[in-house]
Amino acid sequence: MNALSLALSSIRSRPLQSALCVTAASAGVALLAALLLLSQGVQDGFLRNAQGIDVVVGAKGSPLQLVLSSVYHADVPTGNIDIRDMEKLQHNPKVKSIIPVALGDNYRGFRIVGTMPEYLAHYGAQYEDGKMFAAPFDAVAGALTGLKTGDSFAGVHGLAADGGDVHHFHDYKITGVLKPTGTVLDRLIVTALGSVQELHRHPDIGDPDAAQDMEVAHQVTALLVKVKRPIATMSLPREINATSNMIAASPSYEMARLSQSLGFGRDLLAAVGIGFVALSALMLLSSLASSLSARRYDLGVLRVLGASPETLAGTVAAEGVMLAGAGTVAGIALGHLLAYEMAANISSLGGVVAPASFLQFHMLDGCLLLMGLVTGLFAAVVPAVSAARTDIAGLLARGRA
Amino acid sequence: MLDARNISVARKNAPLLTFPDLSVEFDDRVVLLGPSGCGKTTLLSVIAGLLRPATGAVNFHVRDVYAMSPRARDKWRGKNLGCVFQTLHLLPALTLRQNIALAADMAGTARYEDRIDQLLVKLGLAEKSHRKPDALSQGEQQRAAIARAVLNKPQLLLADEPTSALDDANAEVVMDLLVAQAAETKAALVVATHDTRILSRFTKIIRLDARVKGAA
Repeated sequence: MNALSLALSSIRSRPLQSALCVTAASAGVALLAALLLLSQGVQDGFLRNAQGIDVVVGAKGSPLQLVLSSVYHADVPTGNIDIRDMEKLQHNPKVKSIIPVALGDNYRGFRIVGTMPEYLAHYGAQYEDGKMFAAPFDAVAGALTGLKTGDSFAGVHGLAADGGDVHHFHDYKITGVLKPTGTVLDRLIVTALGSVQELHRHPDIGDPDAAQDMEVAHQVTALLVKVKRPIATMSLPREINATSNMIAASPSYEMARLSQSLGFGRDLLAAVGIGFVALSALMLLSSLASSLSARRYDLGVLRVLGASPETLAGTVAAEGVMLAGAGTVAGIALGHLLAYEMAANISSLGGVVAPASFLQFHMLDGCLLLMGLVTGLFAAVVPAVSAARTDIAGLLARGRA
Repeated sequence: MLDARNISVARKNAPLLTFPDLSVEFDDRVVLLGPSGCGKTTLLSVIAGLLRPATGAVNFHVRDVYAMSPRARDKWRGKNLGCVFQTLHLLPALTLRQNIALAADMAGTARYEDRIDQLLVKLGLAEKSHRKPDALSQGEQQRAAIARAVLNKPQLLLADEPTSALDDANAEVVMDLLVAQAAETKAALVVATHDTRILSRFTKIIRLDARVKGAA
């Protein structure tokens, strides 16, 4: 029997109260953990998707809209630009490489992206099955599209699953399915740039968009640019914005701006989570205090048997730390599950965060555990000091309380 | 072995409580006799090193108990004293055996399982050593408390009102136990009580009245 085993036996002797304490602590920690994991995951996801894309060039409009539509496939494009502008830009000494993307069609809400094979290489895509598109109207499907090699389908005009005209002229044929990458690629159908352009060169008879489709034939939606030197990330957009009728934006800059303006909501949620943790710390404190008053005589026994006041304080502190530790560990596990469930079931998070990543140990867990233990220790300070100061002689003289 | 001289204890908003001198030798069986409220428990606390007196000193083998560091005093008490206080019960969260072993664990002395077994058998508790105190009768709990007090073979066995709540027969049983255990471990026995039924068991009687030193 030492401070640790005494604390353990005290916890076990009050199962209901101890369970309540652990539950309250785990609820607070779970909320906080899920929140932190998700916001970290979303931020990482944004970064991962934008990695290697230094500058995005597209038709005039909102730079944020351009980045969202062409990198994250989350908004409608700002418009189209002429393919010749891309050729011009390729001669710019600041530019290392350019991947064009042509958007405008979807299949069941999954966007069809006309691009070059480099696009797949950029995301480090690997094949689950099948191979790269070769012939026109061959396409490669992202992991979350549900398509299989050999499937064929007609593209639908527009970017949302509902509405839009079906391009009956030619069906796409899936030649390969990709492994999950944890990026937007998982929710895309990738085909050759020429396929998308070819499709619009032969408009369906009676298609009201016919004139527009003809335009699209030699146009692309956006250019994903990699620069030669980091400084060009700043200077190239300035140059393009000043000298052409296109706009250029840096994804990392735009996303930083976006998350800054969304930061308020995240801070609010974090405050709620921290409030929860503080509440459960108070509950722990009250539980320890009531346990202490019930155990005054027990502590008196220990003193009479030769235990020092420090040992008494130690048993109470150990009880607090153990309860808080159990609650924190349970809360962290619960938080991971919560984040996993949310990532798996909220479709807008697909392609930004990979749900499975929430089932792994995260650096945050260590911080949360430390926070939980320290909180437990703090909650235990007052009861522990009070235990150390137990007035044995007074306890004896007053008799059984 | 133990001397307590000129002891008086400070109380809140009340004059000092003074006590007659006390001297205990090996083989002594001392009774502190007096009515409730006369300070018997307070004097036992002073002897046990749990309550620093306002005046006077407690010497154990010529060592001043209150000159020791608090930690040393706790260790000294754990090793040399066995206490059966009326209000200090068994820990409800621990089994009977764990409760008894606690005396060795808290005093930091070696835990001899044989000795615990012997005590359990001798006090008729062997069958119930894995029960929690709640599952035991009052008499069994008291015997367990005595076992715990004598586990470390203390030189001095202190007991506070061990019999006052018991009927004649049970009071006899408990006194037999205390005297026998004290004799077996060669401990001096100091009992504080107002129970005059058991006076014949003692070699020394010290009467405590509620004596109060004048304000002057």
